[in-house]
Amino acid sequence: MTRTQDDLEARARKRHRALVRKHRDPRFRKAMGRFVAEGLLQTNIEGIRLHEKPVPLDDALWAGGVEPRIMELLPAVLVKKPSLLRLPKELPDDVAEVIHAIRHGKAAPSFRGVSPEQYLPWVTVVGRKGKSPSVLKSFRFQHEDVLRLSRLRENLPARSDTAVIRMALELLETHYQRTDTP
Amino acid sequence: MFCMYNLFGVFSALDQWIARENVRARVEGVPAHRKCTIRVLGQTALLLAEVDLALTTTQDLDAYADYDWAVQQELERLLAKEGKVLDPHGREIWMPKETQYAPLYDGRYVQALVADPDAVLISKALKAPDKNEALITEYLAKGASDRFFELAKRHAVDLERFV
Repeated sequence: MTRTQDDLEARARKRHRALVRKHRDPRFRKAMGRFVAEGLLQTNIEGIRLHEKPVPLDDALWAGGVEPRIMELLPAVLVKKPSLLRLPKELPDDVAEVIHAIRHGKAAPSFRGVSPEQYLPWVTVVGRKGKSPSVLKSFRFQHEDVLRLSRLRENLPARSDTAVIRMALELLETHYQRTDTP
Repeated sequence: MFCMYNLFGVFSALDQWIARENVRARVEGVPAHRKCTIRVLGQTALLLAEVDLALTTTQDLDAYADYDWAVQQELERLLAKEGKVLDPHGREIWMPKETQYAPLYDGRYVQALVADPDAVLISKALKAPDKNEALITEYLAKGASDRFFELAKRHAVDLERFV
């Protein structure tokens, strides 16, 4: 081992000791234990026990600063499985912002150092698998369109107007793909 | 606390599925699936190597493979049964050209290989240093291998940022 390697190792040991102390912090243990209990994370960090009760959001955010994979999952958890957390009456601005962006299909911001490319894929994995949150869209229909929707809802049968539109969109897309193929 | 899922079993099931599909393809006169190689990377590779490091993994499997779309779909289905997902960005993962791959599964249609820990850690240190800071620090603290330092030098990884 060279002197540089020796020096790096010594300094790394000091920093690693600080990290181990953070791993022993109850906030980290509870948050990690909660995410592991939910099957979102797996870890071999010593002393982590499954934690079944909701974890205060502040603790989860603190733990996310220690383990970035917790932070990466947090936006998806906040939207799809908020029962894992105990949320305060007033959410921090960036938390409220990321929840709003995911729920409404808006441009997603970076969240405490985690880019949307890193956290958005978990939205369909956390909670109900393969489901992303529905987005509110409004359209102006003519009276005959409304009547047509109503007729289709009864005849298809569909549970709602939204279900009719969803079916129609799928059908239209399938038709388009078929005619588009040379 | 750590329960490594049966990755060997997943690859074995995939191999059997391809074999069945290829029998059907021959009968129907359609192209059969060719043999594929799946390279396991990332945290899963570190777990399989049983490195002495504190590891935390999400549900995804980082892998680079040369299979076709139908085989990938089946792998995704088999992983889902284990509560896992295939990282959709697996193909984009950079690995040093010096990476050594150890055999994990060698079937008729599926060959699975695991990347060596030093190469995985160099990849993490270079491409996702923030996310893997603690991991690299711990590796350095526990006495990283000479190969790790050689790879770090060759690929211009700034190890100072981890100490």
